[in-house]
Amino acid sequence: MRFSRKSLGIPYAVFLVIFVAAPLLFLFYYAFTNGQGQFTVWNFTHFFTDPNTLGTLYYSLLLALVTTMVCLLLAYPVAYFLATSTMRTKPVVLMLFVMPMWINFSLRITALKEILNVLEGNLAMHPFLNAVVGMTYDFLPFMILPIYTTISRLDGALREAAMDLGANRVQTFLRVTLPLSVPGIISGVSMVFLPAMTNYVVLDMLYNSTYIMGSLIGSYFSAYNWHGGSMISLILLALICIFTLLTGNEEESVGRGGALL
Amino acid sequence: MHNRIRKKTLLTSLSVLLFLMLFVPESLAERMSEILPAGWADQLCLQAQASDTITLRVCNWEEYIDLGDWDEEETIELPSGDIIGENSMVEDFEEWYYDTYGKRVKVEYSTFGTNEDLYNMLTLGDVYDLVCPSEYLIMKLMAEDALVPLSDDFFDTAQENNYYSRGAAPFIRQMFENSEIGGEPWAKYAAGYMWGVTGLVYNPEIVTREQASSWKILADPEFARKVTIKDNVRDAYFAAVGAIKSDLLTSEEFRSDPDYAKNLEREMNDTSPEMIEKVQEWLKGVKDNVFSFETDAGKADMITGKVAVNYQWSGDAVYTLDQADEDDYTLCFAVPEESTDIYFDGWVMLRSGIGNDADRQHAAEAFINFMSRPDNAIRNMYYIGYTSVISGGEDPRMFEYAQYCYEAEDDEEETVEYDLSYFFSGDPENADGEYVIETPADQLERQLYGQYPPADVIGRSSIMTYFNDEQNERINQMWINVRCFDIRRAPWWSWILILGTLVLVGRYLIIRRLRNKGR
Amino acid sequence: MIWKTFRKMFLILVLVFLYLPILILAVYSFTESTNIGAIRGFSLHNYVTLFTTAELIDMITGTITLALAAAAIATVLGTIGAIGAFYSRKNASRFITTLNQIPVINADVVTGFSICVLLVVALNISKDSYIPLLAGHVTLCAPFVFLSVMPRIQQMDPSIYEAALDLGATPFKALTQILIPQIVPGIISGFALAVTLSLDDYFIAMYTKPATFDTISTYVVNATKGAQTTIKTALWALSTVIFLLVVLIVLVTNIRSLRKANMEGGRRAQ
Repeated sequence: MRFSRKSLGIPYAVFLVIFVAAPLLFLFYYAFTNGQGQFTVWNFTHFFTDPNTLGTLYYSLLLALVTTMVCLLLAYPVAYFLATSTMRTKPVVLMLFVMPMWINFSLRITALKEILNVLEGNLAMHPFLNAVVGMTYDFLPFMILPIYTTISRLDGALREAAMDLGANRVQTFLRVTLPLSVPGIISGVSMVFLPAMTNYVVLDMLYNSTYIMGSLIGSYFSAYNWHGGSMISLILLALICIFTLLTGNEEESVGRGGALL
Repeated sequence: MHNRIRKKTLLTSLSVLLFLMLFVPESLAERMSEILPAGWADQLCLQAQASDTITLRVCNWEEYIDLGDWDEEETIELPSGDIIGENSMVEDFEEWYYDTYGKRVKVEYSTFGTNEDLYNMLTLGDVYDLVCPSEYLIMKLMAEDALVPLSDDFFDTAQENNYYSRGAAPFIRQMFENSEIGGEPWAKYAAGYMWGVTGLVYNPEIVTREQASSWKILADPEFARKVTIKDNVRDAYFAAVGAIKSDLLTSEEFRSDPDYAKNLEREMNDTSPEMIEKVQEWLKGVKDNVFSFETDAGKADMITGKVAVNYQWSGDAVYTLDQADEDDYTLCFAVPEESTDIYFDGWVMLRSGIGNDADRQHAAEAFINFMSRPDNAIRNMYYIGYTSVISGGEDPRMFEYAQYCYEAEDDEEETVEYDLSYFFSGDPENADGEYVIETPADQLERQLYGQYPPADVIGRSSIMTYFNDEQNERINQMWINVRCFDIRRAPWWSWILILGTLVLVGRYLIIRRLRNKGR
Repeated sequence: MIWKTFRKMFLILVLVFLYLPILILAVYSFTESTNIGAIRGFSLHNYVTLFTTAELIDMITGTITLALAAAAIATVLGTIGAIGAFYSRKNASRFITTLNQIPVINADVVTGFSICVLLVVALNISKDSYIPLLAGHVTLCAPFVFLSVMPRIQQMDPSIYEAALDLGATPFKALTQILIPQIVPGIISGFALAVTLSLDDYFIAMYTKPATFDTISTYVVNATKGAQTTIKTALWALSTVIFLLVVLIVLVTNIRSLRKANMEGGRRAQ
């Protein structure tokens, strides 16, 4: 009699096929056809031969890399200090770090913009810096939470054992805590790196007029060029796949959801 | 087993039903109309109209018509009578149409943000009867045979209600008759609404008028991050061509050529691959020099002093100058010496909407005429800041309004005579000073210069024609390329960073794999 | 000791980085200033504008309605999907979980664009019908509901359901009265998550919304491109209101769990 529960999966499977699989198939179709509906690989070859689009890929990677590093440098100590602290208000403090995620990002960037404007005088002078600060501001909580979760799950006894065996605090950290928190780092990185390559609104709002991968999709969208936009989407999708395969952390890839819950 | 299959089929069909529901707008609309805010439901289901009422679907630019609701003190007091906008223009039209022709018309008024949006709304299946695109989209729609010609009745100047034919500025009418697409003049299909030129709003304390009189200022490092450019490819392209060909365009030889106007139009519409290449390079330089690519924010950035130069359409320039005046902050408007893009927005009737419906076409043409009635043209001008194509014909109010806005007070110390006969009279040579405004001297660089540019600006103006599909594709790609990162300019540390990370990640992955194997 | 102070200082500095912009904006939202700088007189006009401008009210109610509608549909879909996937054969279950993972790890830009390509470009469904928008948000949210319900089902004691069947309950009754009540916490947090995701979304709405409709995100992004300062400062008020709401919600939900934790701690101590 189990089938009744089992068949509950069917509507959802149908839903996923229609709204997740089918759109991707159409991306493939549009990416490899031209305006007349003929098959072409021009979109593909163009992306990898044109210095402009390659430059965009480079710039997105660079921006995402720097953002991820800055996030990591800020988030790791926060997560570590919090996870290893003994203060009673720990849950509250953790909440404080996570709370910004629930405020609409466009409003938060608006706030940041006003501050940067005062600090920098002319916002347009430092486009790259703005983008990094904006993205860090936007994504930092997504980096803190998974690292915090991983470190706080670590068995404190491991650290004590290392100390007992004569390791000093630095050694304990480098040889025990850090390696064991790598899954958390990977999970955090996966939540920051990709959005940093695609969230072009942050750049737009902070006077960085250079395109990243996401803006390419946006501009093809505004020019009603579905074929070009589909190709960029596919390339991003491929990047995600590579990323997931390399890190291979299926459990941790719950992503934003895991962080938000 | 049987039972199992049956239940499975049931659930599958249920889920399919669920999605069918999603795909059928009406049923969804009914369901949602109770929960959704007002407006949503209206959008979802097209209400059936009573058959004796004509429905006119009008699509215009956002914020491009008087919505009424003026304060008492906003009344425009002209010698020929007061003008005030109480109700919205659309409501007034519906009332006027009933009073004049005895038939009810219901205007379904919607708006669009850019010409490209409008064009794509049309190609994706939206239906309108009357739309107000810019000249290049009108040309494109004409070329695609998507428009219904204006009726002969519309051009009959003997009819009192034909305000457009009786009142459109002669210079605009000439342009509409002389410009042709596929052997047919624009005038056959399009009636103008607003017009203007492109230029530069600037802060006279930082920028000299001479500097602001060339498109080259946009790439000038002296004003690094202090200029803004329009975030749309056509305006950017025009400025780029102007800057690149600056020497040629301003040379005496080029200027004095008897075919100057024709040559100018040819040069400014140069879309050869070499030119596109040059434009791309120039705009790439501009990208790193400007404060922003803006669609609307430039006005505020200019008023708050964040930028010193703002590429602007004359209508918005007037608005910007007005706003700045309220803060006691003086800005000026200049039109570059090389050339300026003269643009129009005009009413055209769509074949897909009007079809052969004579009643509807009559209502559409009446709408154009109502917009062209001088008091209404003034209301729209006051409300949106742009310049109407209507000069009024025998009706003096249009010129009175120009005087009302710009005539110097009696105690004004320095005044100049500003000749507008090119616009208000069909015959500037013999206008006899009838259309001269005595205006404060600074108006030569300010609002009046933007609202009704002087004749010499019109002389160096050029129409920018539409791009065909192939040009369009290349120029759009160029526009995307402009914003892309130039990999040759990547700093050394970025290479080290990226390569270093790649090496580190690779090393980590290899070590991990080896370890996993070892286990 | 120095180390301890350093730890504290670091946490405080990062918190300052996260909250300073929002708090400064909150302070300025109660003034007449239009720029951060000199404070010009206390005033509530931003809040008056926020709650009296039709455009802003429409935008806010529209965003909330959309979020609730999308979250409701996504919760139903995601929940039955999770139940179905858990009890399905391995291959079917794998198929669902893999597809489910795609919107989760995918970039929002790509999700939004692909849905626009399918529904608007290929199937020619008008954006004005709100179907692409709703479908897009459901697609964004449902997988997260799925993921938050799944662990609950896994932790559940399967024998209770079996017992119910043995005691004569129909499978449907067993499902609604036994199985679902046990996973309610997962469903609730899934719903909350769905609402949050929908409220925060920019890209999917951007690519699928009707031209005349705006969510908070698309509205704010457009407003920053616009020239109206009254709207700009009214948005400061909006940001403050949302901030206060979030603080309130967090406080309410956490006071409960904190108390629970304290009580449990107390019990353990006994």
